[in-house]
Amino acid sequence: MSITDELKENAKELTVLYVEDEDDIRSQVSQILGLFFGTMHVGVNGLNGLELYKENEVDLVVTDLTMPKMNGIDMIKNIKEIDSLQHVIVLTAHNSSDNLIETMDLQIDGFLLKPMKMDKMLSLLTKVTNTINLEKKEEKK
Amino acid sequence: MFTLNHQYKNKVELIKWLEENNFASEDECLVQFFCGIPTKEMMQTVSSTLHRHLPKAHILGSTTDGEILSDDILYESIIVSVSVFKKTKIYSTFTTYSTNSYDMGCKIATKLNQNDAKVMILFTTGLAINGEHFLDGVRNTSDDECIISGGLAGDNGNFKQTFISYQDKVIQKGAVGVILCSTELTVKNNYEFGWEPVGLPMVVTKSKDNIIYELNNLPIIDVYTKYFGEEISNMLPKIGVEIPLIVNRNGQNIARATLNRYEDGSLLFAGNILEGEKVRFGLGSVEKILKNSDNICRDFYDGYIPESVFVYSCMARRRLLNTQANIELKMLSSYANISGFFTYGEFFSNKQNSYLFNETMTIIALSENNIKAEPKKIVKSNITKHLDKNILMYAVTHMTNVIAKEWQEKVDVEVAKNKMQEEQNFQQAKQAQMGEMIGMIAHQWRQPLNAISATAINVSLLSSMGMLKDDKVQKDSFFIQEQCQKMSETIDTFMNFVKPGKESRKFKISDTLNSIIYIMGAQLANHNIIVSIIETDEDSSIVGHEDLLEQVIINILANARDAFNNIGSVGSNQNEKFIKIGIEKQDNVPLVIIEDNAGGIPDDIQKKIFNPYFTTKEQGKGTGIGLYMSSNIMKKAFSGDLKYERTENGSKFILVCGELDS
Repeated sequence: MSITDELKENAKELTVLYVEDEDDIRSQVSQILGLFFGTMHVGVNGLNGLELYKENEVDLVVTDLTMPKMNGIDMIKNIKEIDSLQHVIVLTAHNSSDNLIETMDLQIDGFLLKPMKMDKMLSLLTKVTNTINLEKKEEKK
Repeated sequence: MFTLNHQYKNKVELIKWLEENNFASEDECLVQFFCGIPTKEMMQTVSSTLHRHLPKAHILGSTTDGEILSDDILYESIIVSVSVFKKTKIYSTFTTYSTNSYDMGCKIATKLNQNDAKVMILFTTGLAINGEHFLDGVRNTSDDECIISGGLAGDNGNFKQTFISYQDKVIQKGAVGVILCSTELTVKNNYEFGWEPVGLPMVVTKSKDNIIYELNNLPIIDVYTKYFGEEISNMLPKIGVEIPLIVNRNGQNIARATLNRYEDGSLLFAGNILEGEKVRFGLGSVEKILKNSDNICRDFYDGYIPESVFVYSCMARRRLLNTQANIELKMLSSYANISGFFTYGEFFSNKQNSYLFNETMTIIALSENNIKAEPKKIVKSNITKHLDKNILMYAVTHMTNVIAKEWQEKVDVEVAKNKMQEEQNFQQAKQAQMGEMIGMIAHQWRQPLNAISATAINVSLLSSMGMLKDDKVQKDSFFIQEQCQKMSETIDTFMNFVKPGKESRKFKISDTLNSIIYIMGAQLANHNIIVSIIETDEDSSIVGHEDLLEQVIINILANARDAFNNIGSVGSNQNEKFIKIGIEKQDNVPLVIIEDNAGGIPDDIQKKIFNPYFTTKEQGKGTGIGLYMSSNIMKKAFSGDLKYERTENGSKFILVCGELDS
């Protein structure tokens, strides 16, 4: 089974919340996530993302860090206060190493560096969705 | 040819001398008389007597500030100098002052103009005539090859009334002259100066023709008082010839002596000094004058035998050298019979230029015979033996010059140091700016790079999943091309910024701002800073180096960005961060106003922000020269200013792009 098939299998029942302020990137990445995830909510900044999170059941949060209104870190802090076990993947640019240190305390599932590389993205998403599914199975038991 | 000189005692003796020498029978006879009794009556008496007894001769007269006969310096005497020519034609004329000095120069030179003219000897009245304008007029209407000599009449330092005469006509305001024309006549002219420029150069900040109002933006009389003391400055204009101003033109030190002092504190000089010219005080250096006194004869060392020598020397030399004024004539008088007078200004010319000198000794040497002697062995006269009487003056002059020189050297070293420091600062600021720019490019590029990468992943995934449609390929390819164009434009704009040695030219301020925002925009947006340009005067253009203005604006924007960063970490609930850039005009001078709400600069350090090496940034983050350089650039490159104002929540920088009236 190819990794795309595996991811598709993993994510077809899952809901992703994707938050990004840059229009061009948001448009492309949301198309990519849309290929795999059953349901997707898209936020344009931290504040908007947090609202969407509160309104919906979300399995995975994928978010940028540098954003207007509320930045990614503050948004994640807020989300973790609601659900400390919430799975989060951070999409960030190489230069934001200062921000990365701040995220260390936040129990992030993984980082994707911009510009993204397909294999890394697929493997991280596959790994994290796998974990989510396992947890879901545990819960059902 | 030959010249004979006579010291006038009375009419009878003069007539007797003229008859003994049978001058009346000569066809080409030039008479100059130098009259140390500066009254109209005396001038009239002598000129009438001469004209009556020598009706064919060309007779010029001038009042003086002392007379020269051989190596004697005389005072309140009258010297009659008669030159008889054999191979030379003499033409002479006069003109009275009517419209202005320049026209007077044109008029007399036009009247005198002849073929084969070798030298022109001109005397003008010494006061209320602009000698320099006169000389310009003469030069512009005469042959460049013709030497100009002569000078301005004196009146024993009273500065009240000078006279000149032509034949038996005495003139109160005008010019007289002769021109000597010959193919055989050789003429050599030369001059000696010897005044030593001392102290630092001062800029003439206000002057009109030969009146100076201000030096270094101070009333000129105050400047004299400052350096020489009240007692000396009260002696102006009389003392002015001894402490002239020296201006350097074409490498030539030209002195300008004071002739009059006006109620408003301005001074009249014996020659023009232009606004913007740099002048230094001149100190008459007895030492230098005496040391170089033999130099005046340097043209004769090759064996040239002058048959006549005339000396037109500045009144200041007689006054400064006093009883030793004759020393500098000693060597000269060993070559020929010399005569002449002390003037209020000397005419001198070489092939390129003509000059109105002050403070110099000028000579012309004439010879109709091309006979050369064996080159003389030069025996320099021993100066020190002449110095005993003037030992104190010698010492003071020497000491003053040494002190001035030491001081100058110190200043030079400091200036060189400062210049090097400035250069270093400039390089440092430029490098810091480069760093800034590269950071900006990185931000500018990251976004399209990320978008392109995401697009490629998208296409690749769709393809591998068998879901890729043609229109998606088309759309994404187009998108990638667009992004690449954007990145390329960024490089172009960046290259334009770093291009070295941009020329000074007219540019629109709004264009400059737009390209800066183009480069910095992504970075500022990344910091969530909203930048807006408010143009109240969108056509504002200035002339200058655009890259320097860019440097200033980028520096201030980068500072604002860093200031937001500092308050940003305190809390994220602050109001929207903004930078507003306005282009306005005040008194027709464009202003660029950059305002932010990043908290502002505390009152206690506001005064220091333009000091070099002052920074509020953490160690390693700021050099402390950004605002210092920016302020320098606005002041020096744009004759403007950089001002800071504190606003309620932040800072306001005002870039004044030109000179404001107030």
